[in-house]
Amino acid sequence: MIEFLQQFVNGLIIGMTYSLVAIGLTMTFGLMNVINFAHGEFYMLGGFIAYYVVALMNMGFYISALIAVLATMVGGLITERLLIRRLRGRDILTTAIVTIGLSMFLQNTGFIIMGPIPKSIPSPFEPVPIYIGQITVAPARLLAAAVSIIIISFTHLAYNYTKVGRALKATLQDRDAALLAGINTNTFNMWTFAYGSALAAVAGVLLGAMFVVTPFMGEAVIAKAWVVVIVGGLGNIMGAVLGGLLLGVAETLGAGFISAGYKDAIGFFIVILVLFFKPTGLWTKSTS
Amino acid sequence: MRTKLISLVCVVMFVASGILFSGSQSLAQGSSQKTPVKIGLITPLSGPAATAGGRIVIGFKIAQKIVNEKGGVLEGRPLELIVEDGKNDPTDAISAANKLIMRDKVVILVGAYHSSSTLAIMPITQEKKIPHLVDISSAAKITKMGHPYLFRIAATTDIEAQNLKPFFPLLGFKDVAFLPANTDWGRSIFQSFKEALEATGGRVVSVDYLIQGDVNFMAQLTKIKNSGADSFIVNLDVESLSSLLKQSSELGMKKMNRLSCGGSPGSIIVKLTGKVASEGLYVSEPYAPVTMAGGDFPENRYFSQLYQKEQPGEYGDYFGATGYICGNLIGDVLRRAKSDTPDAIRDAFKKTKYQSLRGLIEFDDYGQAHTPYVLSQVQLDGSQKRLFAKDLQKK
Repeated sequence: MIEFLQQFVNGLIIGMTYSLVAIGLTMTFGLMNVINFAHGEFYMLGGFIAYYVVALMNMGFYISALIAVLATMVGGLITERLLIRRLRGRDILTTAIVTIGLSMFLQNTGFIIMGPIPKSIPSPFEPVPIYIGQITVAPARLLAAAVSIIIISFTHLAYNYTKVGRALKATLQDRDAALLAGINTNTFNMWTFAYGSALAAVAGVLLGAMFVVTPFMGEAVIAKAWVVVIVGGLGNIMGAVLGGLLLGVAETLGAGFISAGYKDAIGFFIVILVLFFKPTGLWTKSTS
Repeated sequence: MRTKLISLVCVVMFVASGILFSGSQSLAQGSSQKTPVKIGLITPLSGPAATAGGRIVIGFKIAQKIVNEKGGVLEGRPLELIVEDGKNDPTDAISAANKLIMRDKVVILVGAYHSSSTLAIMPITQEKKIPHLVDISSAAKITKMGHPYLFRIAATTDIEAQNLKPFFPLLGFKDVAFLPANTDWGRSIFQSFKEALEATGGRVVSVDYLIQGDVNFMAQLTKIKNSGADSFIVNLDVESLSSLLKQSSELGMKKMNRLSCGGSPGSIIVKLTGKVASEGLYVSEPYAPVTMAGGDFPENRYFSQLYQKEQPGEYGDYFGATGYICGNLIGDVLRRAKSDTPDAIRDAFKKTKYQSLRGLIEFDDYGQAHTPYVLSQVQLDGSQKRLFAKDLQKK
């Protein structure tokens, strides 16, 4: 029982970070019809920039994290303005190929700067256990969970209860109608893209402090994020949150109680089931 | 205008990159009149293992300089090193080997880092009768394929397991969980270690193969924590390994015996994992750097000084040392061969008794040298202290 609870808690925490990455991915797809293969690199940029700010400029972890997230957000703004916006109205594959190119560019630029040896962000927390009953949670994981909960709640509230959120919702539902209603979709696209990038960067900083930072760290995460987005329903923000938690828990329990070798396969197994029985996503009301 | 400018920039970058990254570099040193003896080296100079490959080249060049300053080989001929980028790809290694043998006419070929690349070029060196020195590759079957001109200084997983065998009972490795990489290397390690462990009365509690490059191992570790194992043995690339060690510390598993094997350098492990999470960790590696307390072989400090002169701030690790050993060993072999024919070189290799940075190199009937792995433990301050079975027995 203790082992089950421990695995469950571990799964929930890692699932929250999956959600953070997936929110941005699902938003850009729902809003702009862009399959952003470079989204994993914004996640990488978060960890990458935080590492260099902490290690080279000797700033504290929290300030570095903030700088990394803001810098990645600016990166997102620039990417949307210079690259994605020019491809508006093009075939969905054209934008996909451009983002694949951007992904390669960012990975290899990172590789030239960082070299082949992975780096570790100096974390303010030591990797020692905190005991809650018989379950252990490390401080860095508690921080990751707390930050994720705050950001997800904020996104949820803003999306449902503010004017901007409702305008976003309207654009997600029907772009043309939103345009007619006077919503400036250009500005919306740009800020949504930037917000999504910033969330990925938050996950990158949190996980970079727990694991290690490498120029190629986005690859593994983006595969998981796609699983989450498909399970949650394309363009469905709360679906992405729940999908992330589901994947995190299912993966961890599967690896712990079935076989660790199937850990990465479990996500794809879920995707196959979802596509088979409810292809619009688990938490999407049927549109037919 | 703009398009022209962009294409011009592209052309300039293309040409520049061609010049910068041209794979072949000739590194002749010394201005002797006599024709140099050509040695080919295939090692990764691009891709994830590029740093390691680069360090092998630096170490080799230091040794080459020493050999040439001492009057060269074969009546005063200097050594000339020709380096080819083998990348992480057997296909590239094959074309590099063909180029070195056919065009450059090297008399000894060194390489090619990854076991799969080494296995790919072995038929070529066997057919052309080129003495082949294997520097890093550790797959056991390389020295079991009956290549008469092949000699290997890299230790195999069997040798490592035999080195560690006396330590298992002394350090209390009884109920052991294995976490090997899901590769030929990892499977070979598990087989070798299982035999050594069971011979000392230990027991394998579980084995979970891990994916190289993965970073989240909480599920496997939680399972081990609750399985009643007193120790775990892991072999992984450094990146994944440091995440695993941090997570084992987060789960309160530092009381267990934790052993990293397979050759990931302890200094890099500590740097990435941090002092707190790596304290108490046992590290088994093929080379004892000068930073390891009680670890160094006599020539080690001298090599470290030479290396620091070439690369300020670096003390010379396993890779640099390997290049250095290869260069010096080849100098020694050629001096004794007295001729650059394949058979003379092969016979000289067989009679080698060379005291290297990693101990005495002598080749057995299969061309395998038996240099030891060293075991160390990470201390509170992050430094490594070498362990000797004799000292532990006294306690």
